[in-house]
Amino acid sequence: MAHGLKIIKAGFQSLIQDTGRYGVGHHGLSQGGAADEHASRWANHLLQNPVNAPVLEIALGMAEFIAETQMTIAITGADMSAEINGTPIHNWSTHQLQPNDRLTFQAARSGNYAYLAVIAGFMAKAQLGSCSTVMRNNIGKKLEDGETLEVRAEHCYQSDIGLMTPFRFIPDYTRIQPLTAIECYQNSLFSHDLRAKFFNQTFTVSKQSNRMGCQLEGPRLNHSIPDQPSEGIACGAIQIPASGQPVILMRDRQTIGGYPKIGCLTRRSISLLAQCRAGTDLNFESVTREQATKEWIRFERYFAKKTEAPCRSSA
Amino acid sequence: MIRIEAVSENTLIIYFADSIQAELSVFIGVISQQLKNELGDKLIEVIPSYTSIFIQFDILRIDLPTLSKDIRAIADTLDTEPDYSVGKLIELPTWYHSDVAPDLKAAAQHSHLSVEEFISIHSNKEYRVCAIGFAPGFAFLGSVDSRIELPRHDHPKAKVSRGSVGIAGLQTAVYPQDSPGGWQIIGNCPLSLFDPDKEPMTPFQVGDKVRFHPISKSEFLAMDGQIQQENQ
Repeated sequence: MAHGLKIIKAGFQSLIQDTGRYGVGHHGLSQGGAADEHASRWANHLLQNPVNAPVLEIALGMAEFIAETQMTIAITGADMSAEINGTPIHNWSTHQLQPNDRLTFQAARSGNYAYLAVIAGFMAKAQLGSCSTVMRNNIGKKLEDGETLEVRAEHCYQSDIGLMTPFRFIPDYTRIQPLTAIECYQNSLFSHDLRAKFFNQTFTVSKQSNRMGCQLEGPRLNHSIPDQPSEGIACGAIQIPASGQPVILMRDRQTIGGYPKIGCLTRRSISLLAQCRAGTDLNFESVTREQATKEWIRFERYFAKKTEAPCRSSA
Repeated sequence: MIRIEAVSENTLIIYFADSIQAELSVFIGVISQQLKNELGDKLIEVIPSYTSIFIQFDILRIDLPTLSKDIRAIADTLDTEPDYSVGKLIELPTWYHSDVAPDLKAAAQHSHLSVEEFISIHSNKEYRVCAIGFAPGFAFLGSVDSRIELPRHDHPKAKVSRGSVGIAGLQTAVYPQDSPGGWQIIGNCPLSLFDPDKEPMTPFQVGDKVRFHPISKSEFLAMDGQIQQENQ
């Protein structure tokens, strides 16, 4: 019998994700990967897991699990008032589960995605080098009630781990302003006025937002720039179709597209945007690519080398 | 002649032209392969398209100025006038019949051609894979004879059957899987064109040559071609 974490309620949408599927974009496959790289990497980091260990991405909450075996887990990301056997537990922390312990998540209080990691990662089927679920490519699937997420039984429990993310690294998803963007792609084809409008006015996250793209409502950036020959789309690319309503392309984006793009969100801001609910107000600030790159290299090195240990949990 | 532009922290795009030219894809296909061969795991993703190559690189292994220099050096060693005979030829058996092609009759009518003439014009040309995208294994092929150029449907169909051969503007393509789509469907190719469990998972690479080869209903069925209810 499989031993692991049994899904009692999968909630709105629970998916296995890792850092994404790379090297297959030229076949038209989307990269996928955890919507919030910051929170998902912290979940693995707290457990000293490899950066790419498969985690569970829980959207909007209302999920419930029962441990079939002893395991050490970490939860990060959106605050879903998690409890073990009815006792509230800290977010952005590691926890121990004993056989038959019940782990529950309520509706998210802020943010969209919570991450649940286990030592050594969930055992999921890798396809094309990644366990990331990309539903639009029929790779992996939405998890269902009654399934069991298998764990590596001999390795998934360590009684002496009790860590939490230092406070300065925990974002407040209700106060993420402003998001930063690099001016690139067809930016120079947009008039000075339209660029100023994008960086000075306030937009709102629309309901039509998902893992593929985030639509913005608010000021319209109507233009007459012709569609471009379809070209490769970076994660975070900000498309402005003729309707003038910006669309920011996220992890499950299509590989190529021809709408004019005014810029690209920084990697840090992509993670924050993923956590923004419909109706959230957004402002954008222009940053240089050099500035964004320095920040991103710091982020990558932090998780690649594990130089700074997470702090001891007070709980 | 090439233009390299930074996009984000770890991505850039190389532009080769400002407008679509089917023959350019031969050069873009060759240089994409060369970049992968020479730069190896410094590159995370290489996505060639009509006029450009998009690159995601490993920021911990190479920086933008060094990579740009390497790309220029590699591009300089390649002939700007590539051998147009390169690129493998892919033959796509296709049953052109209204049982699998709901738009075939209307398309021929729109083009003031008989169905037979329409089929012969579509299947008598060698196309180039200019880009792959929209869906896994979906290869944009350029360009059809202007006599059979067709507009997209005003309202995309919720489901276009796997194998459907479509035309939109001067482009033609095969839908590798059931999917929504707005192209006019003129035939069906029974081959599997995308299978993530196969190596390679799709036969197409940018720069390849493609030819459609008309087959009969019995050949279509012998190749496991499916006639789906909604087309009849």
